Parts: sequence; C-alpha cells; structure tokens
Amino acid sequence: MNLLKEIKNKIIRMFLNFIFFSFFITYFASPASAETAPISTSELNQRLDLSTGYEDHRTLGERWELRGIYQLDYNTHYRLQTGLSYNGETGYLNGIYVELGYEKIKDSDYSVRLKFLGNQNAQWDNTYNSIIPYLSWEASDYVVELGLNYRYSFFCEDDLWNIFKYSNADVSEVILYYRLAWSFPTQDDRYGLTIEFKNNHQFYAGNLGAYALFINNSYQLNDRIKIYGNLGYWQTGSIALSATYLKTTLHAGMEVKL
Amino acid sequence: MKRLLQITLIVLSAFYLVSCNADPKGLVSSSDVDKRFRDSLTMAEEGDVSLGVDEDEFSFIVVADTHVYHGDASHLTALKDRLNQDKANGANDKFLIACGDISQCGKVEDFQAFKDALEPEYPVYTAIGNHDLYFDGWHNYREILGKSCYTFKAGEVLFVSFDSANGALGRKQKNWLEGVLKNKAESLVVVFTHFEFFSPNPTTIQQYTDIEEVAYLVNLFGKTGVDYVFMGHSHDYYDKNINGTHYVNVSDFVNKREYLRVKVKLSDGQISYERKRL
Repeated sequence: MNLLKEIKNKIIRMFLNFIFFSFFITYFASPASAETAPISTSELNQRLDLSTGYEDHRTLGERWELRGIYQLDYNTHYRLQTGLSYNGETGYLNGIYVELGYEKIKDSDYSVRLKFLGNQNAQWDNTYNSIIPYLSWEASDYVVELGLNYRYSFFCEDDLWNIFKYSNADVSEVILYYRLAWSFPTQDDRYGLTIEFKNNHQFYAGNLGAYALFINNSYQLNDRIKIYGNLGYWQTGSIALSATYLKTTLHAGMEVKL
Repeated sequence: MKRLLQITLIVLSAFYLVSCNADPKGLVSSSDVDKRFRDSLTMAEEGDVSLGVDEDEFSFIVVADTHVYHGDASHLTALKDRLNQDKANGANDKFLIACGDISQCGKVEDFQAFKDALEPEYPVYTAIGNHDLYFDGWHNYREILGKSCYTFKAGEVLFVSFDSANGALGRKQKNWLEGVLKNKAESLVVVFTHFEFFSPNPTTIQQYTDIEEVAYLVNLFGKTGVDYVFMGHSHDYYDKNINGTHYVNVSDFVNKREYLRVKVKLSDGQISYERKRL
C-alpha cells in the first residue's frame, strides 16, 4: 500500500516537475518576436483556471490537489471570482472561496476586494472561515496587496463547508494579509516570470509569519489559453528569528478565456 | 514610493533586530527541530515527581518568557522567595514549568542562572523557545536544561513537553507526540510548549506558523483527552476551552512578572489554576 502511494506521489511529482521546467525550456527556445494577444472589447469576460498541485510538508507529509477557479469580469471595474480546491490525499474539499472586486478605482492602479474564504480540514474536524477585505495596487511590473484577515476557527465537524459561518467560533483572530509580487521583464511578451512574497494564495490565508517565496512562470499559448507553473518555498520561524524549512508547493495548470 | 518603502523596511528591520538583542542569522537559518529531536533521543530521561503515599492534592507553578539576560535572574530569585513564603502558609508547590524563552539569547550563563535561581527547592521542567536557539543556543540549552521534548509524571498526571521553537513540529516529533498521547495510561494530561496556537490580538506578530498544524494538534489533543496546554511566546494571557482542552497562553514573567499556580486534586481528577503576579 505504501509502495503504491509512493509510486503515485513520484509520478505526480515527475509530471509537475516536467510541466514546470518545460516553461524554462520553452522560454529559452522561443524566438524573441513579440506577439500580442488581441484585447477583448466585450463588456463581459469569463475565465476558467484549472490546475493540479503537489505539496511536501515537513510535519503533515505529502498531498496532491486539484483546483478550479472561475472569474467573471464586467467592464473594467467589476469582478467576481470563485474557486474550489480538492485534497487528493484526504478525498475532501479543502478550500472554497468567493471574491468580489471593484477594479481600477477611477481608472487608477488601485482595486478593492472582499474575499470570503473557507479552509476545511475535515480530517481534523476543523474549518477556518475568513473575511478578507484588501487593497490591491497593480502596476506594470509589480503588485502590492494588503488587507486584514478576520479569521474564525471552528474545531467541530458541523457546518464545515459553510464559508459564511462566523458566529460562535472557538477562536476569532485578526491577521495581516499581504502579497508583494514583482515581474521580470522578458524578451518574449508571451512568457511571464514573477517572484512573489506572501502569506496567502487563492485557497489559503496564513498567519503573519507564514510567508513564502514563490516563483511563477506562465506562457500564453494563444489569445485564449495560458499555461503556468508555480513553485512555492515556505519557511517557518523566520519572523521569530528561528527560521527553518516548512514545505514546498508546486502547482501547474491552464487558464482559459471562455 | 519604492524608495520610501525600502527605507521603512530597513528601519523597521534594524529596530527589530537591535531592540531584542536577537540573532539576525535566524531570519534565514536556525537550529532545526528534527536535529533537536534526534539529539533528545540520546539524552537521559527527565525524572518523575514523587508524591507522598497519601498525597491527594498538589500544585505546580507555570511561567513563560523569563528572558534571563547577562546572567541576571533576580526576578526568578524574587519568585522563589514568594513561593517559599506561600509554602510557609500552606502551599504545596512541587515543581515549576517554564514555557520557553528561558534566556534572552541562548547563553550558558543565562540558562545556568535560571536553574540556580529555582533549584533545588523547585525542580524545573522547561520547553525550548525561539530565543533559546539564538547564537547556537541549543548546544547550551541541552547541556544545562536537557531534552527538547520529553514526558514525566506526577502521581496520575502525565506531563508532555514538545518543541515548537521553530514554530513547527516536524514529522518525527509529530509521530512521537501521537504515540505518547495515544498510548498513555494516565487520566490527566498537561502539555506545555513555547509557541502559542492563536493570536490574542491584532498586534501580535508571532504565533505558531502553520494553521493546518494547529488544526492537527487541536484535534489530537481533543481526541486524546489533554486537559491543559500551556504556552507562551506572545507575552499575552488568554484561556480558550476547545473540546474540553484549555489552551492557556501565559503572560511573560520578564516584564509582567505573572505566573500561574496550577492545582491538581487527584481523587476528583480536577485541574484548576489561578493567575498570580509578583
């Protein structure tokens, strides 16, 4: 049984590694000519993002995930995003969120967003529900996001998947929510390389000291499809000056304009 | 704007590092929990606390974040004097538990001063904290205070100390902790460690790193009937009762001079505590 599990994990790891590193190869092999994707003039835009991921956690072990995100944009100002994440190791959904955004306030670089996030750990009868209002400042080569994570922790099996449940929480906390990202200038506009420093991702909003370094790669295949791979290196204890390794995450997927 | 952000970050980092006489190397690399666990396996077991044959009630003291610095443990000597007075008035304090950050920066003189201030009258049982790791502090800690994770007994009460000085458990220690709690024979269980599981207020910038590990631990403690978990680190008091387990974050002793006297009544299977200030 353990051998089968190990083989399965190795195959997943090899697959994800293949996708991830193929971006580098594609990038260096591709000609330097720019090909710009046509910009949609439609008022209503929809996007679907499907990905698979692998995580190696020093305490909790390995797991693989499937993720799906749907985004709806109305003109340049209104945005709705929602997503589901499935934990392949436990067989449970482990992340659900709905996010509403008012984008490019007065046509500036600033946006405000409100996120409702549920992190379900059904194997431990636990759910973390969060309301996260945050401000996003997005320029051509960098992104800064800052907000507050109002987190409500429940340690019982009732209502695990109700992400709008906040009353009678066992613990209520307020945690800083942040993300800093910087995009490297590349020879080819189709290729994107970004470095991020953050304590969250779409399906997770961590403690203040739970920050990670991400390297994100993407490649625009055509005007509708983009493929990507993200590598995350997570530490523990650094904020208390006792840093050591926590986990590695690897995700690869594709984004499709509908 | 970029320049302003850079300057702010540099000033804040410098202030942080200078203000707590900390080890800046720890920002990127520190002693690892797995190594400390391996080292602890090779070290002598902690001794149990002996109780009298007819002794049904006893108490023990819990402190956190004593931050002994430059070998000065006068605040702990004052605590011992107070405990001696209480003993003369009928208190039955058997030992003292310290929930980490014994020292300010992991120096031999600080660990020794801590131990000398309290022993032999009050045997000390400690959990290792992040400050105890600074400047290769684990080497000094293990020489003077011993293991980073262990168990001991006092009557029918099992005490478990685990190492959270990196803000994480590590797989080996997780398996050990699970084994200890699932195979215990004692009806009362007290766990103590350094990093607190929850943030008492929005200004708290440090807590146990991964919320998934916290979910795992809370579930384990609830399922195995742990009665109390004592923690420190954020220097702020709270007590949260989750599924029958009390998660008590102890205020710091270095500034607030706060400690807990925990009373155990074996025949009733009751544990309670009172907050005290020097």
